[in-house]
Formats: sequence, C-alpha cells, structure tokens
Amino acid sequence: MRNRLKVLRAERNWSQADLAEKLDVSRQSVNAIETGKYDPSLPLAFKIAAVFGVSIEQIFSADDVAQAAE
Amino acid sequence: MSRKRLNSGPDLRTMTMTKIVSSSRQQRKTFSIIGMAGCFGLFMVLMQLALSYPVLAWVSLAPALASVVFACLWISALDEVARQTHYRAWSWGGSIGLMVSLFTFLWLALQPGLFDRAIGALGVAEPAMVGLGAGLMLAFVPASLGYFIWWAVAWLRRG
Repeated sequence: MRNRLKVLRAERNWSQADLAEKLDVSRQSVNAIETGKYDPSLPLAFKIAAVFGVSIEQIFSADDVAQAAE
Repeated sequence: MSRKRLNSGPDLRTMTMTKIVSSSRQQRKTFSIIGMAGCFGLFMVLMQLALSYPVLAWVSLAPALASVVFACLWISALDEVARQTHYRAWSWGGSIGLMVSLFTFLWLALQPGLFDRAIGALGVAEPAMVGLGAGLMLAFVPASLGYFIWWAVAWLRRG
C-alpha cells in the first residue's frame, strides 16, 4: 500500500507529532503508517482522511494500482 | 466552508477534544500498568505467605484474575499499531518459543533416566511437583521469551 501522508502533512506544515495528536495515536504509529511499515485499519484510514479533509483514495492506493497509473 | 477550515489548519475544538482523548488513553495505559504491577506484587506476597498459611494460595487467585482484567484494559488503551505489534510478537515470537519447548521436550524424552538423575542430584523432596513445575516453566518461559524478544526488536526498530 502506498500513501501520500508525508506530502499532505508537509502541505499543512504539520509534524508527525501534530498528526499523531489529531489521530489519537503515537508519533511512532504515524511514522509506521507513513513509511509503509503498517497499513492502517479502515476506521483509522477514515480518521486520517477526515483530518486531512480528503477522501481515502486521495491518500492511499494499492501498489499495483499505483504502478499501473505510472 | 468546513473543508476549507480543515485544510487551513487545526480546528481548535477538535484539538481540545483530541487532547482530552489522548490524555485519557495515556491515563488508562498508566492506570492499567500500575494495576498489573500491583496485582503481581500482591500475588507474589500472598504466594510467599501461602507457604505458612496454605489457604492464601486460593486468595492469591483474586489478584491473578484482576491482573488479567488490567491486561485487557492495557491492551485496549494501546493504539492499533502498538496493539498489532504485540499481537504479531505473540503470534510469531510465542510460536517460535513453543517450537523450542517442543524440541526440548522431545530431546528430554529421548534421554532415558535424565529426569530421575537430575532429581536425585538436586535431592528434592517432591519430585512429581518439581517435574510438573519444570514442565509448566518449560512450556511457558520460551514462549514468553520469544514474545518479548520479537516485541523488543520491533520496538527498537520503530522510527
């Protein structure tokens, strides 16, 4: 799974700690999601989308879908 | 309008709410860890006292059960990434530990008279109880060690 978490975060000038606080998770958890070490559950993915004010598809994409688009 | 506000920066109302939730999660974690430690301490004290007053061995079941409740509270207070790390550590580390136990049991079974010789060398009064205890420890300790090692490596590798 690929994600645009880092880009979206940078656009808003938020640190990992800022995002972690908004999502009610630890900073390490944000880092794990951002680096692709962990794929979030659907409820957390919805929460992330709500925090950024975008749809889930605008943040996450499957590896094969992303490769096909490129 | 609401999307614009979300994109423009943090919503103060959401921020306050999140802070409350965060601190509540942290409080629940701290509370459950203190609870587990307290129960474990009480259990150990009661087990020591049970050597003189055997009925206390039954009483020690209360803190043992309470510690399970605190453990459930603790796991529910973790965020999902931390929780999954613990689940994975128990699944992989614990399973590898159980494999170690299994091979050790098999190896011991293929050494006729080893247990009797060990008991004889130790000179224990109740060999059956010692054997039962050693068997339980052999099943439990490698699985717990496997879980702990797996979790510790994951914890050290977190960013």
